[in-house]
Amino acid sequence: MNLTQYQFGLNDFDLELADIASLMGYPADQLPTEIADLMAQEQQLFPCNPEILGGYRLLPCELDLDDHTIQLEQSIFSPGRRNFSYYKRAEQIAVFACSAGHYIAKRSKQLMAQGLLLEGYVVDVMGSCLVEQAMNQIQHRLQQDLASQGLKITNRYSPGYCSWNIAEQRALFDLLPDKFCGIELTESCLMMPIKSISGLIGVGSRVRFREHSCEQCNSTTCIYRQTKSHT
Amino acid sequence: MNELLAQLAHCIEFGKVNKDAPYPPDMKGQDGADELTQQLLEAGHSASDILSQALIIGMEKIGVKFRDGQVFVPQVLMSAKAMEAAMNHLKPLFAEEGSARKGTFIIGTVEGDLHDIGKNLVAMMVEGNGYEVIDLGVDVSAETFIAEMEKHPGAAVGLSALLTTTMENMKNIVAKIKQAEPDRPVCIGGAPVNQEFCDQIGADSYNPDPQGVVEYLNRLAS
Repeated sequence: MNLTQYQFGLNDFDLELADIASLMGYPADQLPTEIADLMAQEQQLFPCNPEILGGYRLLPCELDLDDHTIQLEQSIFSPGRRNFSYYKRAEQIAVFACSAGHYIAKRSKQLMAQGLLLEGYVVDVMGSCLVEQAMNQIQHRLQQDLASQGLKITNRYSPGYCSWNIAEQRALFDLLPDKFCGIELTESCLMMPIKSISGLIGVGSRVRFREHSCEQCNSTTCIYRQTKSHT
Repeated sequence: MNELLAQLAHCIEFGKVNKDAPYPPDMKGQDGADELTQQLLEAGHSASDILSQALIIGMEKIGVKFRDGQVFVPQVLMSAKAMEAAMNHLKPLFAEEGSARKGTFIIGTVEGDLHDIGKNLVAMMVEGNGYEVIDLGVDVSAETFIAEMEKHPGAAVGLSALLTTTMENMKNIVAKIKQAEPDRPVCIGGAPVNQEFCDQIGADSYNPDPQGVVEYLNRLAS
């Protein structure tokens, strides 16, 4: 299996207030001070090794331009017409998964169970931010590694977003080793730990990366819609 | 309106929990929901008056602002925190006064789904608007909802789902609730849910935001 895996420590990230603000919906400089204080307090409590893991498997792909489907080994994906258009010149696909680990999920639940909903929410958003930053780093390294071979990458897209049926998460994880990066799927295709992401990145000499693609999607409830840093 | 009641409503709207709370910065050092509620009780106001003339007004204002995109989740949670500080004084008195709440609301995230932030927001807003809330948590089965309905005959039921895969579970739970009690009011919400889905599965109300749930319950209560 052509697998690449990374493990991150907290020092690998720079949790900017502006990123947290953006995920919560605020303009970058308008995060309430209480939130910034809570964030700083919680960061002090994080374990040294929070088990933030991520990685990908590179696979050759077969694309059906009529059905807008992608075949990877025995699995066929229907990412939706719009997502497919980004992959349609791909020669390979990087199947990725990344998790912020169990600590964040447990801490957020613990705070909420104590009735500390605001604190729990702040930790939850910090988890979203960490897992996205970890995946940004993995994607950046993938991009650099492939550039020497004259290859480029697309943005990353995930089941559950932009009309892509979340149930295809199961087929995605069938292509990865069991409990890859510590992630398990529930019956309803929810990833555990809950602050985990997965999806496909197109690879090829004729694919292209878009700076920001949310305007192409018609979801009005996605938390990433208002963030400009999402890749 | 009484000045103290107006101040308390303001504290709830802006999330001023108590005098020591640093948030919001422009109210630093001022009495918060905790102190003002105590002062109102000492001045002879009933718990139900404080609830209806201050807490509900403040929570309604923040609910409308949230719906209109003027504030975000943390501000609603801070308002909820201020409301909780006030409710800690009032809850023991509700039973003594024999004052009825506006109604009871049973809420939970459907079986297979573990997301609870949206559900918690709705629960806090509904409680702040004068209802008793029975929060069943996440991953709640139809049987659990129905068992709770039996304990609370007049209660409305709210179901939350964040995944398209668990919308199917929502549909099954609504069907079982309606089979058990066709007239039981059921409202649904969550990111992938919409009015069309609500109509399809036979739920009574879909609301894209917490304030919509409050307004639905107020219509039922009126």
